[in-house]
Amino acid sequence: MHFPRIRLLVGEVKSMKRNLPWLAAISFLCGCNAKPSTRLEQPIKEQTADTSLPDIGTGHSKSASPEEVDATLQRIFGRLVIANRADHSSVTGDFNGDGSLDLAVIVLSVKTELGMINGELANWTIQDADQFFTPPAGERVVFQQKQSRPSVEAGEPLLAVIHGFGKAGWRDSAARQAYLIRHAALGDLRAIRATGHIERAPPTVRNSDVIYEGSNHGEFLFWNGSQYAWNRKANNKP
Amino acid sequence: MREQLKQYAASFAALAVLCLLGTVTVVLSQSSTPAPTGFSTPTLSENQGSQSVSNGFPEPAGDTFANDQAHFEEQDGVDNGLGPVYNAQSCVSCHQNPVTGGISQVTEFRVGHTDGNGNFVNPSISINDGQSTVPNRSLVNDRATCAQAQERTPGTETIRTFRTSLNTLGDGFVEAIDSNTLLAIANTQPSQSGGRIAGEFIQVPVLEAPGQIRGGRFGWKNQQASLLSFSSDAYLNEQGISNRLNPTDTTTVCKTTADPEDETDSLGMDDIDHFATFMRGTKAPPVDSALFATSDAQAGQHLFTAIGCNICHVTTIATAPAGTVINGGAFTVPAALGSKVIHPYSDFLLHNVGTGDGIVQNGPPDTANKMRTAPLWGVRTSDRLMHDGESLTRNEAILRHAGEATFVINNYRSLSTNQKNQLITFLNSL
Repeated sequence: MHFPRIRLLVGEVKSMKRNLPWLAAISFLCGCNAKPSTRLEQPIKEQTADTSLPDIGTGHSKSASPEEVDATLQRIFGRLVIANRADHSSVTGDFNGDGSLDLAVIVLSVKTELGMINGELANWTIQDADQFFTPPAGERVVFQQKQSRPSVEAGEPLLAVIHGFGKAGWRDSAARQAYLIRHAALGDLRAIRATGHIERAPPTVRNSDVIYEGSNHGEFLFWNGSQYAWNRKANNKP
Repeated sequence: MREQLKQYAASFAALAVLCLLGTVTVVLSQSSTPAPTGFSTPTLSENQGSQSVSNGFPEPAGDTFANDQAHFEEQDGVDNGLGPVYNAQSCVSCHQNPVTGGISQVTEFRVGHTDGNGNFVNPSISINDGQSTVPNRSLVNDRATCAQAQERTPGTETIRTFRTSLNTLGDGFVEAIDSNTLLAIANTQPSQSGGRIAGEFIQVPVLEAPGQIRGGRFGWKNQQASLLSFSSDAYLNEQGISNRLNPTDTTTVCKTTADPEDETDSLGMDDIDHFATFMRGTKAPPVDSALFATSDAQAGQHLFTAIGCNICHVTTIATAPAGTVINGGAFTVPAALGSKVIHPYSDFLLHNVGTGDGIVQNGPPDTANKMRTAPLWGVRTSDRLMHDGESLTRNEAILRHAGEATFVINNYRSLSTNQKNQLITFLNSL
């Protein structure tokens, strides 16, 4: 039998053995041990995406009809809270300073739904306007008290604040960032532009509205960037 | 003659095969592989770094990863330049949890005000009974080496915010991300979100490469692009130690040492070089593999993407290939950091999610109310969330997102309680 193909392969192997040293050298140069090629981080071209903030504006009517308030509360809280029907129980303004109109309305929690309202993973944030830590002036060392998570009690009046979204503000169906605020439902709500009214204005208050309530003319409720809190030191009346 | 030709042909064939193998090897070495992960830099008061393991980053001649960590943990004093105004005595004071280089609850304090046009203005803060000024700096140091140098915030500075310390573990991989990769993420976000999300990419100076800029990625405002620049900035502003890239101290009140205070050691390295080398050598934060593997966490991971969290909290990014020259020519990505796949859960871009602090640093004025997307790798080691640490639960932190994140968070609101728990379980596994 004659197998020329096999003989050829045997010959190749023999020749490979003979030439192994220089084959190894060439393969080394060829790339097996090559260092990664150097490249420069390329210069950046202009960002194509528009990152400018939307021109939100607050062109919509500031007044909130009872029907609109009910619909908004229903959208966010379902049947867990009921709007207070007294005069001046709701007010609109740009409370968080984002240029979009927000809604604040006094509500009553439904007694039978406290478990849902206080749920750990509820879609709103419960805050206590009295549980806000302000470092006292003139003291170098201050210890902040650990505060428990606020919890709504049966039938407790609360201030519900719904932050607006986009041009339609709180009326936009996407406006669902909501807060239930304890100790902040005194009634007779009024929204006042902060500019020119507030001393020691917190960061976002400068271009936003604050809420005055009841007869507390020297005090107002404001958004501090993460929470609604009473400002007890204001000396300007609305 | 014919035999000789056969031999040449055989040799040529073998050579071709070897060349092909060589090429494949190079290609494979350039393709991305997972970055090493681990909390592998335990903080030790003595014999620092002796149990630490790096990611393989090549150490400068004579240096060791343990030595770099020791510098990161070194407590500075007045005798070697601490202050006069400062926040802490060492890097590890703020970057420590659960191991050296991690996060902490320690915050820094920044203030400022706006001008008549609404533009942010840095404060100038009087010290030493009004005889000296710390000009044009939003950072207010909480400590001083003498009472006269103590900074106090004037009432005119109406913008005030705290910022939590950031994780630095795995930052070598972040530094090794090509700026164009971050820009590409920014450019795709509008199409991913129906035009509702558009991260802002900014370029900032690279201090070690004068005149050069690069895509910012470090700090809450993306104010730094390189770890050496970051180290230099922090050494001056957080510890009050001037160095070759920031050679002048913040104030001369109570100052007893000459600038620059950071000195070169016998290895030819300054402290800031050791800090940067340490951070470049750290592994990426690991997931809690047991929790991550649970069905709840896996379902949560799916929900994380399904509702759109991943548009900003980008799950996977590949670093630039080894050999890429970055930082304005000052640094070449080594094999240990090159072509690595990381899972930072961040796009390292600035966004307005309704939590902006009003402060502008290296970016344009429109970044005042934008913050860098917080990387979520290692977030399970943090109990105070968002830039100011004011959100104390995962749910609160999620609900605090607004602005660009509104539609994503509304998707979250639409989840069932069980699904929310799954998502939070996933977050707790990171």
